[in-house]
Amino acid sequence: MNEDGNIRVYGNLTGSDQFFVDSIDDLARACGLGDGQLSSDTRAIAWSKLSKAGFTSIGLPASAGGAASTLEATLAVEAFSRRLPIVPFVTTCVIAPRLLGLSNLNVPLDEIVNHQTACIVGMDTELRSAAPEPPSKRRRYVDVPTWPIHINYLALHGENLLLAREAQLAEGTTFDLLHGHATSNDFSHTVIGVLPYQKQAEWLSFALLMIAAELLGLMQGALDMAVLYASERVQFGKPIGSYQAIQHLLADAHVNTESVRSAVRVAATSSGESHSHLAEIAKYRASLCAIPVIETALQVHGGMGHTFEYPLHRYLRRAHIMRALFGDEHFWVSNNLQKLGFNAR
Amino acid sequence: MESIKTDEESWFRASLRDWLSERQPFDVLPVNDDARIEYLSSWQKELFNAGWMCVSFPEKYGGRGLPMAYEAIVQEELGRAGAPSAFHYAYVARVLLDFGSPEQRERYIRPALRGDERWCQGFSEPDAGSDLAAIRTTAHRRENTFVISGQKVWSSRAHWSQWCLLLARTGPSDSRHRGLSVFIVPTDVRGLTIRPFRQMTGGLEFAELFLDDVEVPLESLVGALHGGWEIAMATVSYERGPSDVGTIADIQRRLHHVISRCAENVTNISPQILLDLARLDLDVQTLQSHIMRGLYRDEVNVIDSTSSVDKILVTDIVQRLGHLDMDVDKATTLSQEVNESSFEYLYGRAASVYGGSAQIQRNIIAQRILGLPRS
Repeated sequence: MNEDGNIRVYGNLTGSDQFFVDSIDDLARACGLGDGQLSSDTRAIAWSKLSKAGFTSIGLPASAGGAASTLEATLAVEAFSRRLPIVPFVTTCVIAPRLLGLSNLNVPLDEIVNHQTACIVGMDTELRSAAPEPPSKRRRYVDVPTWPIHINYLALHGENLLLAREAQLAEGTTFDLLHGHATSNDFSHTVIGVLPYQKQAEWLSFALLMIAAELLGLMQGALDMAVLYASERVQFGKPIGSYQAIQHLLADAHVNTESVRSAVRVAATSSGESHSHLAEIAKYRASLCAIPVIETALQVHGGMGHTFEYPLHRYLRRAHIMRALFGDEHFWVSNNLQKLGFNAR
Repeated sequence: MESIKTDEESWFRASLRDWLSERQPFDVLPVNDDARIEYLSSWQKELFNAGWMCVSFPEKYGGRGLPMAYEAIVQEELGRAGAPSAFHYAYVARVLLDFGSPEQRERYIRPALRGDERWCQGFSEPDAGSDLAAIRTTAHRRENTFVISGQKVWSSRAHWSQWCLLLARTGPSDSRHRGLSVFIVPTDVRGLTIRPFRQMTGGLEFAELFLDDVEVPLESLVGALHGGWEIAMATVSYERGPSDVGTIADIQRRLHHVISRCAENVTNISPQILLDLARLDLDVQTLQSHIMRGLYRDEVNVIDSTSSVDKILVTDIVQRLGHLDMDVDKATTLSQEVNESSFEYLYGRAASVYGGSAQIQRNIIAQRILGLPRS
């Protein structure tokens, strides 16, 4: 039940949910997100604006000042990424704070909330935190900001939560214009807290769902651009969006986007035993559908989509990172194969 | 799935599950037409008598007056138990509930839900398929009757039906969608000839209807005169949308069947097929989430373009399942003698045609949802 007195069922939005989404969209535009400007200054300014608006703590548990519900957190992530965040919003503001919040830790939470630091979270590629050896030289899922800001690296080792200040990451970190995922080198870390496995599982479901929500926002943002472009671009005397060849491409992109939206919303409003499973499904489906949808948007834009100046390629690059982060669609298919009782061969 | 549970929903689900577990096992759906129709009708009666048929319908028609989401629970539990769905005529009942006169509702809904009377649709014509507004079958008033003449095609199960929901032109020949009306026509009326023809599955589900001065009483008109287009669109929307289809139950049942066949014979199944199966299972679960979201979108029935999105997602699943089923059942060839997997594969090919082709659904999405200009 929310303040409207309406029950949110199976992922459908109430009037106040919609108002929340619209406000975030306004904020995202006011912060200059979506402009496609990539200078360090621009990003630092946007980051500070988000912090002042209170969105750098949105991933904290509701009791600690975060989003009121999991649904609300997914809506915030979706709305921001639809405008192409040029800051590592989902990991620093959503996933890392939740990990710290569940551990009752303020370090380095305060710095995140005050936009002094970015925080990345690593998991090994099997999504097992109970690695037998400390997290070194292992290929890991991370999401890295690339402008000059202090980076903290959080990792789980057994039930211990490790923190590396100013983590050193291997070469290849900056392979993406926005963020990277990388192999972590040895780094000096300290144990800052303990998070029981049960809480870790709860956090992982949350993280999967938030990454899926970011992919959803990216798909929708790219699709919005393509629909607008197809309505305005004239060839053979008519808008190209009036031709069925283009209409069917965009219709398929819409269908895929809606299927991801259903998976994300239903998972976000679920609870109990099925929640973690539904979060995995959402991550799977978002990873499966995001790239083809954004590639369709590129196709519809013709040559324009392939220019560096036009921001579409940033949706694509960002989506590839989010797709890989915490398991792409192939990972989750193999996972499901085992759930069905078949061993992957 | 069971994402959100109220106590009532949990109780409802548990009691249905008990009923189904006592009722088990369920036979494989017969491939033979007569046997299949017989089986589904008697299963529908069983469901109706136990109170599980169309639970969202008002109690006076044999439903329970529950929200639409309970229909999805029934589908899920039927699928889980390996039971067939039996809801082929519910979409007609829903149309009559929304558009029918009090007398029509009283007369037709209950027998349709109970499986006592079967219905077919007389919409498409030889020269009006995707372009439904081009139909030429006419109906005009003569004293206390409407007289209908023309030809219909692709009427599924017409020769096993007692009634036909028929779309005819009541306006001028160039009136397109503004001059259409819907009628209830008994299939044994004088002047109506039904000619079934064989499909590639070997079945005789399709039929052509020839109407030669067929007379029906004035009260056969459903809704307003010339108001047929809205009713026809609602009908195909119910048909393709999630609110009626027992598709989810059927998909679940067949998927479990394929999974267990793979498990029995795992050494002979290629790893690639197993991966496809695992992928399909995840996509079916996504579809379930999608349908739950759709059912809860609005407590009243959703007649809008979103049913086109649903139909494309369902079609994708049905057709992929057909391929997998065939691949797992290696012995199957596409000889004229069909077995269950080849039947389902061939039948599934029609999923992207019936109820509005996949291309028409994409036109609808592009123009009505995305707002792209018409060509």
